[in-house]
Amino acid sequence: MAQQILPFYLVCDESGSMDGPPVQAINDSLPKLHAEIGSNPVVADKTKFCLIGFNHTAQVLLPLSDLSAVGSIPGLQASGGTDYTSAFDLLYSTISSDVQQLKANGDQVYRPAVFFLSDGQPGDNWSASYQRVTDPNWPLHPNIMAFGFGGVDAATLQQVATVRAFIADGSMGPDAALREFAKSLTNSIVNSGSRPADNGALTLSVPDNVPGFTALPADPV
Amino acid sequence: MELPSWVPGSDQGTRRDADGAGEQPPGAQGEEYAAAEEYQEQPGAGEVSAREVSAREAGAGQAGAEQPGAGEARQQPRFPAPAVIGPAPSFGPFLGPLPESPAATAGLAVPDTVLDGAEFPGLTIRGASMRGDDHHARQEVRQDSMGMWRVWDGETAAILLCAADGVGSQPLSHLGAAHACAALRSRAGRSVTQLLAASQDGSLAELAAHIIGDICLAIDEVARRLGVEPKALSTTLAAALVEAGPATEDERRYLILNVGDATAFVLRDGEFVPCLGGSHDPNAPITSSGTWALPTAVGPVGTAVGTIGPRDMLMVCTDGMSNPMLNRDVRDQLARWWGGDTIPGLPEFGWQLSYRVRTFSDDRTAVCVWGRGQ
Repeated sequence: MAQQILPFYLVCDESGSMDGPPVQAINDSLPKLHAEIGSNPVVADKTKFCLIGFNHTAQVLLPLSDLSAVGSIPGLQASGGTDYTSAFDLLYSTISSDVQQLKANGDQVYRPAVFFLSDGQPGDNWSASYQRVTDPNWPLHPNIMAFGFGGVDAATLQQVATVRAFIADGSMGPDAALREFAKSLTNSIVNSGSRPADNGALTLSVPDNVPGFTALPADPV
Repeated sequence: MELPSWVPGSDQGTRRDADGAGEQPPGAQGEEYAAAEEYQEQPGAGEVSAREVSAREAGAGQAGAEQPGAGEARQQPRFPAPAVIGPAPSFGPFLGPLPESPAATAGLAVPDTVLDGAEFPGLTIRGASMRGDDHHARQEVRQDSMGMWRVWDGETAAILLCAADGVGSQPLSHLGAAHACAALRSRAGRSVTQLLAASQDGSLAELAAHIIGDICLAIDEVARRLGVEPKALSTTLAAALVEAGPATEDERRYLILNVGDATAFVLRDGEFVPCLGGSHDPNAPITSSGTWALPTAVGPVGTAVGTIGPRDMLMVCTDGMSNPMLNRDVRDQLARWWGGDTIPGLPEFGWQLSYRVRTFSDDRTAVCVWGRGQ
């Protein structure tokens, strides 16, 4: 039986610079994000979730899963450098294989959505990998929303985002802010959009503002 | 999105399934229901006790000749829960509180469900428009709309049916859907003879585009009165005009026009045949939820012509109906309900249209016309 599925990827920076309160905040917030989506049956039925962690390498910490069937989400462990190339390369290959599997099941697959969480200080030249995963000619290119905190470099986060970047303003903890963003995202994804007559592209409904964050326009490289 | 505590989880769904399994919708034929049982995959479906079934059968058997009495009233069969086709959603049916979106609280709300029908010589109509669980969960109004009318331009009579789907991202799209239906009735109702002639001489596409343009102007005017941008009223639309007085009831002419992903099918010989090309390619790697919409992003105006006979059914519907119909099991079940000898009554049609398929939780609207009387 074909279903309507939204693949949802959380790509988290777990480099050494995230050690301490930042990575702890993410680890604290993951169970809440899990609860937010997993306990919301209307959204959970049509959302599948994947967690990717990266430092100087990247790994899939939770394969694309039905969150209501997942007991817990693995935690992050901060160490090593920050290599965006490995993150975007793994994101590309993971989305490719996941969508292929979903289509093999006969499912209707919405455009993948990516939360990219980082302090925005990569040590590598990541533009080629980024451009491959966001290439409009790649049918599976995801919508990326970048979420930055700590010693974030706002310009880098704006370059990562294809839709919008959100930079923590310090008014609330990252876990609370992440929940706010998750609420807005899950709402907007399931809404149908309007296709502008000029270019035929889907207009994604994305929140203008998220409590605890300053919203910045996307500025992809 | 927070899901309020009133949304039933799997536990309540199981209990509901146990209550509902094995019951027969009022008026349903035994063989139809036997077929319906095949798709039930609900947890707890086999938990109905022999005593419960016996009590239900006793109640059903007395329904026609019962005497007033408290004991017998308790034995009346319960109306069944919505049918589940394929894997069950992880939550049971729910309505939740009344919508609280700004549109709803501003006095612009529409009912959760509309159920309507009509019978003419040689034609039977059933239609329903139902709010989906996405909108139930978010306490938002139903954005679909529908209409069924007998129209007369002074020369020719016809039956006009329509279904419209307000674009979800727009704040007042439910009003756009309703006004699109109303404007269609006004505009197409004046041009019945012209439309039927155009369906024969190859000029329907041009006339349809002209009529859609006029409907856009009508929606623009509504937006101006409301003080909003026309895009706030964005909606899809599918309409069918069926001649009321055919030369022969074996070949009753119809024509279709549409904008966006609202569409139309003919049910013939147990198969749903699309009248229009799909706006979404089911084989595309990524499914877009975007759609062309009146009044600001109309895109191509779809048209189709054909005939229906006494064994056929013509349906216009929104994508909340056509998307789950991409599943063969859904199409087959609908064909069993609607392709047989018996045309459902109104409550039964409403029950049938409320079928549930996991992950398909949009508003759902279908208006159906059978080419025969009741």
